[in-house]
This record gives sequence, C-alpha cells and structure tokens, in this order.
Amino acid sequence: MSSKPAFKVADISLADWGRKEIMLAENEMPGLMSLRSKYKDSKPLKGARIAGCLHMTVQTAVLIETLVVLGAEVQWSSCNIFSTQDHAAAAIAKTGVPVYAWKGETDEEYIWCIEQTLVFKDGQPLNLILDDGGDLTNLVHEKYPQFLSNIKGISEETTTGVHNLYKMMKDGKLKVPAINVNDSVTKSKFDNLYGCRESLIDGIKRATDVMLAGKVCVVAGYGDVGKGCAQSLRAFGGRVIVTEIDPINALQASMEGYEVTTMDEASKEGQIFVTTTGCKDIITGKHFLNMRNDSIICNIGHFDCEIEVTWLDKNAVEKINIKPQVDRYKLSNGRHIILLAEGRLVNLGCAMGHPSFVMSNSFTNQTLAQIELWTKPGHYSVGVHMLPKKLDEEVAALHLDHLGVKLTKLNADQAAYLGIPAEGPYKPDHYRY
Amino acid sequence: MKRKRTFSTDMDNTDSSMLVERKKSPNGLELVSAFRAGRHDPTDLVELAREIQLADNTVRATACGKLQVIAEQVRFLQEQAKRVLQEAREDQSRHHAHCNFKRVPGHVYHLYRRPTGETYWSMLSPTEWGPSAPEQDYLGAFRLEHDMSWTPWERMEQRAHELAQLNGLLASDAHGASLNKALMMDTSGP
Repeated sequence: MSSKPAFKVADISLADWGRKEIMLAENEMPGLMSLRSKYKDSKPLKGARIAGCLHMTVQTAVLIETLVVLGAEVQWSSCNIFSTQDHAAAAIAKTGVPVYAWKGETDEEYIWCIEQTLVFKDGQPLNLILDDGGDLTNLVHEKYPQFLSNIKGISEETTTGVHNLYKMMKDGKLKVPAINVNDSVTKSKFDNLYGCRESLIDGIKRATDVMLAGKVCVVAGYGDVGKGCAQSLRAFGGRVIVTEIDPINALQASMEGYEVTTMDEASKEGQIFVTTTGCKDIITGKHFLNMRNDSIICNIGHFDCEIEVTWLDKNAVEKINIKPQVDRYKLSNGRHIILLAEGRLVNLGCAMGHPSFVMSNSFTNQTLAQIELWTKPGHYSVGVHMLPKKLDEEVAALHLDHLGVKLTKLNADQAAYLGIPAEGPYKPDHYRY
Repeated sequence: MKRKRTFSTDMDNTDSSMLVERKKSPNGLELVSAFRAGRHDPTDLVELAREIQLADNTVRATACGKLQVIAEQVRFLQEQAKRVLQEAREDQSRHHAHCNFKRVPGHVYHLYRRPTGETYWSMLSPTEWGPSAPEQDYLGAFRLEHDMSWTPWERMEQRAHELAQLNGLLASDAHGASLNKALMMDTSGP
C-alpha cells in the first residue's frame, strides 16, 4: 500500500462536466453549504483523517468538499460497484482528494478501492470512518484491526449498515463508537418519504411513459416509503390500493382513504404494482397469473427479493427486453407483465435516485456526526448511538431558508408553559413525527 | 536438284517460320528463278535460329523475374491479410472479455484470466493490485484505440510514434504535397 496511486477514476477528463453538476447540486444542498460558511474558519475537523465509503455521486462530492472545508483530510471509495458517477469522481480527484471509484468495479476491485482509503499521505492511518452499508467498517475490523485503536468513530448512513453495527455490538466485535445516522428523523423520515415520493414516479415515467391518472395502483407496505409512493401515485390521479401486515399502518392507510386489502385480491385489480416492504416474496407467481395484461411491476423497498423474478424467468413463455431496465414477460395465460429494473430499486435503476435536496438532509447528519465523534472524544462509548435531538433539529433548521420557511419563535412564557427550552430540543426522543 | 532438296530440308529443320514466306509471283510478276533470287548462305539461318533461341530465353527469364516480384508481393499481401485477420480475431476476443466499466478510447486497461477461465478487464495493473490481488493470470496491458483496436503494451510507444507523425502530417499539410517525403522519412523511423 506504500505505492498506491494518487487516485483511480474512470476518466479524469470528465472533471469539468462533474464540476458543473456539483455547482448545481451545491445550490440544492443548503444544509451542507451553511455548515461550510459556519465552520470554514474554526475548522472543527482539523486533524481528522476520514475514510469515506459511500456512493461516489455528485451529491457525495458536495459532502466530501464540505468535510474538506471543515478541515478534514478525506479519502473516498464508493459503497456499490455500479453507483459511481464517473464525472463526479473525476471532479473530486482533480481537486487532489484521493478517490478510488469507478462505475463497474469487480468485487475484488471494490475491496481494493476501500483499502486504498485507509492510509493517508505520510503513512498516517485513518482516524474516522464514514460508512454506507458497513463494508468499510467490517474491512477495518477484520483485516486491519491495528488501525482500530486510532479510530475515533464511525458514522453509518443506512439501514443495512446499522443492522450490521448492532449485530457487531451484540457479538462483542464492535471496537469503536458508532453513530447511527440512518435513524435521525431528518434522514429516514425525509429520504424515505420525500425522496421516494418523487423518484418512484420519475422511474416509472422514464421506463414506461405510462399515464398514471385513472390507473389502479397497488402499493405493498405503508411505511415511510409506502406512504410517499401512495401519496404521489394518488396525486397523479391513480386509485391506490395498499397492502399491509401491521394493523397500525393498515389503519393509517385506511384513514388516509386508501383501500387496504391483500395482494391475493389486489393482484386481480391493479395495473401498476410497487413493493416497498423490505420483506421478501411480496409478489409471487400466483399473483402474476392474476394480473391484467401489461401490468407494470416495480420495487422501491430494499433488496430485489420482494418480487419473485426467478418465477418469471422460469415460468414465462417469453421475455422481451424493451430497453435497459424494462422487460416484458409473456405468461402462460397469454397476458403480459412489464418488470422494471429487474426487481431491484426502480428509483436507482430507472431514474437518478434521490434528488440533491433530500440528500443534503442525510449528509448534513453525516457531517454533524463526524464533528461529534471528532470533537468529543470519550463522549460516545463503544456502541451504537443516535445523534442528539438538538442536532437533528439543527439539520432541519439549516434547510428552511432555501425553501423560504419563516419559523415561529417560542417565547420564554410559552417555553415555560410547555416545560421545554425555548431553543429546543422541542420533542422527547420517543416522539414519532 | 539433290542439293536443293537437301537445302530445303535444312530449312525445314531450322524453322520454316524463321523467314518471311516466299512468293513465286510477287505483285503478279513471275520471277524467272525464285531459287536464284532467294538463294543465301545457309549459315545465316543457323545464326538467326540461335538469336531467336536466345531471345526466347531472355524473354522467359525476364518474365520469370517479373512474375517472381509479383509472387513475392502476393505472398506479402497474403501474410498481411493473415495478420489483419489474426489481429481482428485478437481484438474481437479482447472485446469479448468480461468488463463491468465503460471503456474509453485512449485509456490503458489490464486483462486478467481468473482460475475459472474467465477473462476480464481491470482498471488496475499488477503493481497497483499489490498484495490485495486475487488469484489470477496477467494477460497484459492494452490501450484501446479510437478505431476500437487494442494496442499491446510493448507496441504502445511505436504506435504512439507513428500516430504522432501521421497526425503531424494531417495538421501541417492538408494537400498531401509533402506526404511522400514524410512517408519516406517514416520508413527510417524506429
């Protein structure tokens, strides 16, 4: 690792294009930009050597440059072998940040890329981890435990990674404090709800150009993602049916005016199907056979196991690829099914994922988590922590101006009446929003 | 009479087509004695026959020489054709090696073979892989050219030199006036 390249990207000549898109994204990421102006002089991350492993996209580029403005040294890899936007990676590499990411890595190259981010110039190892999915965290714990004593903490972006952290903690394997960024209100409640509310429709439209008005749309699951999907489908004039296993969520859906029934029933009626559950085997063979001709099926939940694609591949009479990420299957009953993104996440496969603004919420949480871990050594024990409510509120506050929100101030009298500080935090930790 | 017969036999033996055909009445005037008017030294004919023989040989030798040049050229063209086909096959098989990323002309990529027999393209050279390299055979570094052909590492410098010279030509002389001169210079290149 002594003679590693300064960076490794697909095509450095894409840097100018990447820079233009980063400039556009900056305007839509007010949380990160206000952290820059707030901390550019005090540089709270001075001395921090952050190894980051998170989709190397235009939005992430804004995060990386924010961390640099705050004084950190940063090295980056992507947390998915296909998710890197090569122009964003090139623009970051050009600024001198060591980035090792390109769209279309092999699994071994993926690990290689992560390994390049562990040791900084002059042979100094990392002292902070910013992770998405847990691969960097696991790699350091399993293959490079000598670096652990030096690491002040981990901030983890997503559900999968947080599960991994809790599991490591339970097995006694976690050796550094970790902050669960995923479950900040301004992360999951925004990213999942508002992000998917826009990107689901974006994906369906780009893939099929189908008219949603008047269609019967079936949304499996009424969690944050399901709520967003149901709302936008209805907003386009679709008639939405929800399926749920949890009586609370089912009641919520019903009281929002959605019909709630089972997939066995809904599969006979629907024309557009969206799975959002995070569970498996939601739409299976018998459901496909119930469906009307040319029903559109997609998943925006978690993995690709919500829709039984293997059944389609095995039992369909014919499979025609309409265009990348759009397949039309002919079933034994003569009817057709249109499957988007091969059952994987439709907003990533057929659209551009989350917009910058909602990623600004997530990444502002990430940045605040990094500041917490770096500036308060000893404050967080080895284990999995949440960001304090106050910081969650700060993340939201940083995004208000951009939307022209005028916030009402609590006066001292009112604060005393409610028994909360006038400056917040305004809600108890268990409040559900 | 006997002598005459002998002579005519001689003539036949030499080659009846060697001399221009005789006529007994050229332009309608009958010759008094065709024999007399046509008598000549018999050794002349032997000399003539020898000359013809020599000319035949010379022509044949010259033709053979010329044909040889053509044959050599044909052999050379055959060799060239074979090489072009071979290179096309190699380029094709290189394009068919597995690859996850979008290849950009002008960039150098590395070809490996996995223990499973799968060949694939990597962004990383063996040196860059370092100790993290998986088990695999290195098949070489190749640069993707703009014509979608692959130049092996050992020929990269040569090809770059050739291309630079040709590009220089294109830039300096749109009319091709100095093309011959430059191409001749090129033959003395590396």
